[in-house]
Amino acid sequence: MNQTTLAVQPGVTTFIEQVRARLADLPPEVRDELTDGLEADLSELVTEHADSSSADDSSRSPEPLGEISVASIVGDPVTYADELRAAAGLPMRTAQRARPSVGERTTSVLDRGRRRWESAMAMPLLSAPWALLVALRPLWWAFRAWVAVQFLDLVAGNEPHRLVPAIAGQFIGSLVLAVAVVVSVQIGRGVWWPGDRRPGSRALLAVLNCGAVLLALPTMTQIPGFGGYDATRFDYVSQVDRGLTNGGIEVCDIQPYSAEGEPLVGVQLFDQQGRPLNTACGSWNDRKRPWMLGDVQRWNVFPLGIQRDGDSVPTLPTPNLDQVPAVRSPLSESEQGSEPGPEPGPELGPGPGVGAPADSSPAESPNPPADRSGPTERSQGE
Amino acid sequence: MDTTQLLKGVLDLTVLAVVSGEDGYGYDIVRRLRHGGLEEVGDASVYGTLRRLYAAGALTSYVVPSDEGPHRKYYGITPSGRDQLKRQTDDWQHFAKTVSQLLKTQGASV
Repeated sequence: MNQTTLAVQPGVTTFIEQVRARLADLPPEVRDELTDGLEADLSELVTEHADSSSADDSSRSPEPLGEISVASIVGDPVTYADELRAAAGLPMRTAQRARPSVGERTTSVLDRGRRRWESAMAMPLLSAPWALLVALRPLWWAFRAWVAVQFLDLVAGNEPHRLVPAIAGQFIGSLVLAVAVVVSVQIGRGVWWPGDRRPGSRALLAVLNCGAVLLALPTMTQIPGFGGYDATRFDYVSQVDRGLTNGGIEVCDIQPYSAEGEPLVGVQLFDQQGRPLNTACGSWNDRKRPWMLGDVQRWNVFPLGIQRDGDSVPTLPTPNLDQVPAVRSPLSESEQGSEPGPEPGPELGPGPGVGAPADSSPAESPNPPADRSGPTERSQGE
Repeated sequence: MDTTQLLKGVLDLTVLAVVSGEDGYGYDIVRRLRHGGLEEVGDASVYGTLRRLYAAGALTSYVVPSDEGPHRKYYGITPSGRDQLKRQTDDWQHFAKTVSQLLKTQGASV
C-alpha cells in the first residue's frame, strides 16, 4: 500500500470534471461513487508516468516533465467515462446524450470518409494504383504549393502567368514558391501542422486540399504552353473564318473571265447583300495590292495587284489560263441562241460565275484601266 | 486474438482475487493486475468493475483521508465476495480446462 502523501497533479481536476460531465445523466450519488477517489488515483498515475519519463529518456511520452496530460496516459475523458460506465454495468447514454458537438461530428464524418475510401482502395484492382499514388504524395505536396502560389498571383492580377510566378519580380516569386513548397511538404509530413489531428485542423486541411484539386486545372490553363489561351492561334483561325474559302482553301485572289472565256481585269465583286467580297488572305499577304477608289482601298476588285520582290511598282498577275472555254447563259436557248458567240446584252442578268459585269470590257492589257488608279502601294494602316 | 474481449469476461474474477489478498485503492488494484500479467487492462474498466462489485455487495469500501492530498478510496472483499470468488474460480478452471481439452482434441488435426 502506498501511503505517501500525494499532491493533486495539474490537469487531473479538469480531466475528472470532463469525466463527470460525460456522466451527467447518472444520479448524483452514482456519479459520485464512480468518481470518488479518482483524483488520488489519477494523480498517482501522472506522478508515476512523470517519474518513469524522467528516469528513461527513451520513454514514448514526448511531453516535457510537468506537462504530462492525463489524457495522454489514459485516453480522452469521454472514452474514459464511457469505459467506466460500461464496466460498472450502468446503461450507456442514449436520449439524454446531448447532440454531438461540431468537432465530434466533424471527426466522425472525416473518419467515416477515410474508412470508406480506404476500404474502396483495398479492392484488388485499386490497391496497386493507390499504393503508387500514396508513394507519389510528395509530388502532390509540391504541386499544391505551386497551385496555391499561382492562384494568389492570379488573384493579385499579375500577368503574364509563368511557370514560376513573378510576384514582385522573378527572384521574389521563386522565393515565395520555394517557401510554399517547404511549408506544404512539412504539412504533408505532419511535422508543422496539423500534428494534433483536431477536427478543425483536419477539416481545414481537407478543404484546402480539395481547393487545390479544383484550382489545379484553371491555374494550369493560365500558363502558356500548358494548353493555355493562345492569342495568336485564335486570331489566325478567326481571320480564316472571316475570309473567303473554296473547298476549304483560302481564296487570296480571283481571276475573272468573261462568258466567252477571255480574262477580265478590274472586276468588282459584291455578295448577295451587296457587301464587297473580301478575300481576307488577299489583304493579309503583304505582296497583294488593292485597287483604289479615290484614296480608299478596294480589296473586292479582281485580280488584285501584286508586287513581287524587287519590283518597284505592282503589276497585275498573269492569268493561269490565257483563255477558258466559253459558257452559255442559263436563260432559254431561244433567246440566247445555240451559239455562245453573241455578246450578252445589258438586260441579261448575271450568269453564274464571274461573267457578270457586262460593262467590263475584256482586258487586252494586264494594266488596270486608266480611269482607275489601279493597285497601289498598300497602306500601312490596313 | 483480441485479448481485451477475454479480459472483460474475467475482470470480475481477477479483481476479486487481487482484492482478496489485500485491500487496495483503485490505481493500486490496476497496478497489481498489470504486475500479474494483465498488462492491457484499462484503468476505467477496473474502476467501473470495482464500483459494480461494490454495488453487488461483493466488496466493501472505505475512505482513507490524507492530510495534504486528496483522499483515497479503498476496497476490501466481503464474505459474499469470497463466495463469488470461489464460485467463479471453479467456473473459470472448469471452463479453461474444457477449452484446453477441446483445443487439444479438435485442434490436433489442424
